[in-house]
Amino acid sequence: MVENELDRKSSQIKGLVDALYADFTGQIASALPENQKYNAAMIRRSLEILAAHLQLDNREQADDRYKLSGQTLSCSQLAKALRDRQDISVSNDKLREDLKSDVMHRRWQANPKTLSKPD
Amino acid sequence: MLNRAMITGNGADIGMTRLAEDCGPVLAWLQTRTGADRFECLRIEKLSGGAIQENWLLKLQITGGSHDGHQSWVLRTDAASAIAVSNSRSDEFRLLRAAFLQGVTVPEPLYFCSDNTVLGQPFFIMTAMPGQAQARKLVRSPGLAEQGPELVAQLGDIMAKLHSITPQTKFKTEGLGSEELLFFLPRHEGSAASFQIAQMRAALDNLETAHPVLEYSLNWLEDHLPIWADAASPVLCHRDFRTGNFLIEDGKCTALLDWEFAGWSDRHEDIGWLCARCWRFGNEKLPVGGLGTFSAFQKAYESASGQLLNVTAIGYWQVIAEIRWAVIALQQAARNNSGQELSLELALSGYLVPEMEMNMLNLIDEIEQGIWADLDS
Repeated sequence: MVENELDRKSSQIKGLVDALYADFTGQIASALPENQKYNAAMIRRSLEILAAHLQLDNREQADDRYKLSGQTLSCSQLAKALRDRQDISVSNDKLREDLKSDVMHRRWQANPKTLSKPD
Repeated sequence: MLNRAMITGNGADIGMTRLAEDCGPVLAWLQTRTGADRFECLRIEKLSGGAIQENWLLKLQITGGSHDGHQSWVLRTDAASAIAVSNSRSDEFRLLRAAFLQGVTVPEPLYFCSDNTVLGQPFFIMTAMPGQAQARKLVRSPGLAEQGPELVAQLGDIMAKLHSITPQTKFKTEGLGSEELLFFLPRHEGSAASFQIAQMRAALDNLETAHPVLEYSLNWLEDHLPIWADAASPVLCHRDFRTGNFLIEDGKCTALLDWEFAGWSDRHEDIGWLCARCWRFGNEKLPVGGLGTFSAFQKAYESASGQLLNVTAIGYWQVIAEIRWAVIALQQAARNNSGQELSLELALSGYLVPEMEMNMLNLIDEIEQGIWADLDS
């Protein structure tokens, strides 16, 4: 029941952002004077990022964890462990692979119109 | 006599500083400094760009005094969002003077005003130079294929002149040396490379968010310090020498701008920054700022400076360039996210970071695998 309610609200917000995007890019942006084009491009990109964020389910939105060889570290735990040069019992290759995978995901969220969503 | 000041530009900008509301005090101050009989401002316009500083173009008709005739000058002052790590306007004025005295291609610095009753904050005046600075326009210029090699060779020459300034330099004119003119620039123990790593970690500590990719990359750089760190005598580095911070007119650089981050460093820092992947604006195959090949730049730099470049070290400086830009972008986003200064441009800066992170991880892979070939023609 709670999930359905959340889904309904998410879907409503997503619909609102999509409509805002369509209205802005279809009608407003083209009518703006030349010196507002840069601002318009920033607004368009912001709406794209918002829409991509809303595409993620709640679990994906909240997940900032790295799953490394049997242990799960939060983003801040991993950053601190790296700074302190702690042994996190994971090979350098695996760590770099996980970091890349996280970057790919955030890169898509930042550029949803030009990149495809990674698996 | 002061009259007719026309305010132009983006309507939203008007009122941002006292200058837009009333340029009278600035003009009166300039009239006194130049000793002019008549001082007429024909036009005043806020120039685009500059999140940290504001630049205003002043078109002047001056009668009498030291600058008689028609003059185009630029007034440079802090924007609302000035950041702590950048040099102050008075320091930037001194840096510009040192560069000008050494023959670096820069606008001539004319006057510095520290009297806050004039504009409300310090400012300086320099000559206006012609040219285009917008990076995306420059890298898409139709003449780039033909003009690119000469342009990047000129950039190599300009950078070599800049790097000829050391803490021991005595300038040929005015009887000044670095010691008097650049006394405010901090000197640090050890190599510029290890100093940069420490600086980046300190900057990360001041952010509220954690960044494992940046921590990983800094560790990697630290582990490889013997390969790229050079504790040799430092040179004056611009530390923001990239496409977007110099003016280009007819395929030639007319002025190197924005000296707010300049300091003593390793010459390879400026080259790594200019050639960083994040500063090519889509022209990936032209490593020198998206404008030309490295070989043309290297040849000119080495010839003008008499110094051979350590090309291997530049790869590592490219990694730290990505880290430094990522940290600046995070600081900009934090200013918006904290509510300190709401700005869509600042907010979006944070979304640039994954791109830099990808660049640094790819560079690390390529360097480790021996396939880094960024600077090959």
